[in-house]
Amino acid sequence: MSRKMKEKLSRAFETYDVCKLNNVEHMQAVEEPVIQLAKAQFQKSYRNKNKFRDLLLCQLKFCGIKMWTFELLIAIITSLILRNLLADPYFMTTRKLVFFVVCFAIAVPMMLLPFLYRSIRYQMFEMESVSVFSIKTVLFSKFLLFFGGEVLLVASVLLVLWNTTSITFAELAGCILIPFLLANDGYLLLLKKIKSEKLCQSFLGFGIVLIAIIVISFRLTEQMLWMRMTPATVVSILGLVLYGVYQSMTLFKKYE
Amino acid sequence: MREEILIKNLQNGDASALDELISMYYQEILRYCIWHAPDRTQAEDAAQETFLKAVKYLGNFGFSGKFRAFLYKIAANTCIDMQKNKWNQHTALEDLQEEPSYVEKDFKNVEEELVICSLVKNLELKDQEIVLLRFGQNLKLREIAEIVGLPMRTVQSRLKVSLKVIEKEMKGGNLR
Repeated sequence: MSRKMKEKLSRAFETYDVCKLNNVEHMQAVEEPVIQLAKAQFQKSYRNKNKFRDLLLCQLKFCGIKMWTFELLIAIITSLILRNLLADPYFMTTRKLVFFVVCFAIAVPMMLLPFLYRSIRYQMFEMESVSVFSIKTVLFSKFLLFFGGEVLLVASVLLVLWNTTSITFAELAGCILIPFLLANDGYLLLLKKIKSEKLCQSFLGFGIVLIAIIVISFRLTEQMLWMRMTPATVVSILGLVLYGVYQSMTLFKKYE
Repeated sequence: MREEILIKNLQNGDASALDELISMYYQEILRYCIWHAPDRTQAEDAAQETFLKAVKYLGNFGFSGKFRAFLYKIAANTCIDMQKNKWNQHTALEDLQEEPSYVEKDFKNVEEELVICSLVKNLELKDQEIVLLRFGQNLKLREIAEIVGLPMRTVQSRLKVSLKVIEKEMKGGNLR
């Protein structure tokens, strides 16, 4: 269509539009009652909005204790199994131990999946019992609570390994922290980008891909690269921590 | 930016933000309602209803996205509801606006513009809406896409087709 025709169309709507042709006093006279009515409506319908921290507290009472109890059980069972396995040096070589630790660090965040699935499946009931929030806000609050428990779980496993093996603390930290932080940062990104209906599948897929990468890299390399606490390892850990903090703060601000 | 601050203030309970927020959009929404309503008075009713609903939903549920698109969606639904109730047929004489005066233009231009408006009204409802929002309300394609709930490319192609139809009708009719 020619520009001339488009201009004609715009002018045609201006002709039809009588607003501009009316005087300013009339417009103000019409606008003012609308503003007053809107203010009255606002006073009637406004409720103090619950902030995200209120939701977090509610979630803590609602499912935080259950999550942490579950994680505590996993920590106890893992520690007991590791103590027994580590007693046999032929069964658990250093290489096997590192492989186990790395896979464990990736699998720990995946334990959140049943809680997420329940939230997504029964989202209406959960939201009604907590407050009027979007499902993503509720999922993020669960993620944060679960992450608190994950940190303690991973720390307890780290301590058990440090006490029972000859591997240094720095090397163990490198083995655990990088895959653990990578998994959690990946989940945060998925939480931000993916729709809630597809979240469980995305989390599971991401976890499986990470574990597959670990399995392949262990088959291909003889060296246990992550065991060495090099500057690159430190930088990677710091980078992952900062990224995770940044994503969490962005989401926290968004939902607050 | 200013709009975001006003909405944030409103969501935090500051009703005075409504003064500026409504002033920013009232004329635009009224203009939109005038297109759909049988007369000016009912258009003003529809515009008022739009803002009341917007205030009701904005405060409680915390919308995300553009406020303008949010308002237009409410305005569109309000006009549809009022159309279903066949607008208010019983308008008292004293409520009617006096006939607005047109700016002096030569008759031919006015006639042409009125024909264009009637050609737009002959389009399908969705296409009418898109043409109105683009040329009557001067919205961007992305905003129109959000309001009508269609992908941007679909809006673009439908607009192109509608404009071709109007141009063809105009060339085929008395106007050249």
